[in-house]
Amino acid sequence: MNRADTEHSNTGSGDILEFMDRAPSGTGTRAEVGSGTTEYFSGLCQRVAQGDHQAFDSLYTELSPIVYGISVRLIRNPSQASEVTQEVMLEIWNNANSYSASTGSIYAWASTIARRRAIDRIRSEEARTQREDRNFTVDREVAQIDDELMAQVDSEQVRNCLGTLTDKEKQTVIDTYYGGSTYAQVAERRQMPLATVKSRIRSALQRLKTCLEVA
Amino acid sequence: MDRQNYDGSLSTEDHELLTGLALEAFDSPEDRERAEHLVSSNEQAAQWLRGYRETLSRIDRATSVEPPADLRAKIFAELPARQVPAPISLSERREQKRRTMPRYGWLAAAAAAVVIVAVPTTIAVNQHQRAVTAEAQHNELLSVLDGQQVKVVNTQMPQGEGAMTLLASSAGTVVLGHDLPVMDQEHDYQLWTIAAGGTPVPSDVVPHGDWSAQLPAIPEGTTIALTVEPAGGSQAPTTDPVMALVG
Repeated sequence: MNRADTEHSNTGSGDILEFMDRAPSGTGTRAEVGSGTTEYFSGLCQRVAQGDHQAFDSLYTELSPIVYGISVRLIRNPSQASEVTQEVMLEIWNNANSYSASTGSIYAWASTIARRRAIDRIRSEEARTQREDRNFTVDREVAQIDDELMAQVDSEQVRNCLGTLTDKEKQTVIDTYYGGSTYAQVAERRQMPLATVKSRIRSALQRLKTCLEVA
Repeated sequence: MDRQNYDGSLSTEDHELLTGLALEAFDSPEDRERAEHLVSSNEQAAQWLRGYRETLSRIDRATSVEPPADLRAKIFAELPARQVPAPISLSERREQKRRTMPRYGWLAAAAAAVVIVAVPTTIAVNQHQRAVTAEAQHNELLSVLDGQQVKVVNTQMPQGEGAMTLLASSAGTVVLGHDLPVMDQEHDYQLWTIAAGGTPVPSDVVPHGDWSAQLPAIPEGTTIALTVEPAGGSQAPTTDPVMALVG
């Protein structure tokens, strides 16, 4: 066995300036923490929590279409959807340090915040206006909304999985996911028992979860 | 109310609470509280909720819509001024360094420690006047260097509280860390590879204590540096290196 006992060297505080002079911020690639990975987003959130605008810009690019998509789908008013998107992105800015990769993807984290904010908005509007002008599911057939939803889906896998739902499951999913209705509102609108509504939504989400191979 | 089935699995009602929470479909604050209590007290329920939310987010991603073009500027106008200094103020630090230490000081120090050996299977690093050996746990890594002429370079942190060893050959590179001080939760150690005349390329985020990292073969003159970065690592260094070695 060869053994290499080397003298210790001291270098101490290294001077990164020599190479930093040649290293503009933001350049470089990394295999382990590539764009789109959980580690990448965790790192971005840590930087956002420290007030890094550039990191927030990256998060905005990645998340704002999801947030706006949820908002405009639920609220159906582009101006209000923009307001809610602004609220959500500022919440992400303020709470970036609370994101933990161990509790899910950055997308699920942002979607959860966006859905809660958008539904808060439509329910407060509902209370104010009795929701007459946005109660679209009363006025339109489920098939029409289904066609619209399917037309928006740009993932073949998601489209196929939505296609596995029964018509009755799809109806309740559209009312809640697309329309932001509560369990009781769906039961009233569809004239079906509350227990049936809950059961159909549960079975629909479990089928989608399995089909989309979500762990 | 049956909270769980007899076999410990979640009941149908539990799942309906979780889907209600995922979809924000509750009619009363009490239902939400019950669901949140279930999630906070039952890891299985928490996992299912994560799954339901991930499922919905998959559909959300597939139906995303670009927001109005002016929204980005509106939101950035609402942000407070930067809370921390820019990660790197090059000109300022450059001046500080020029005043306090000779240029290329660490490069010279690192180069002085170079030893060429053959087939290292045990590496000793002198630290705190004692030898710290990296052997059994690193043997697999060191096998990539088998039969090669290996350049071995050591360095220590300024106060001698941690050390790093670089083993470079034409077949691969191994970096060993020894006794690195514990880092707080907001920061991690990160390795960088800097080709001569090149830019820092981010490499592994490494833990405190002892560790080893395997890298591809590096051209002669390449610097391996270790910096302290925000947790999860950075795309570009935000601090000066705590240690650096030239391979």
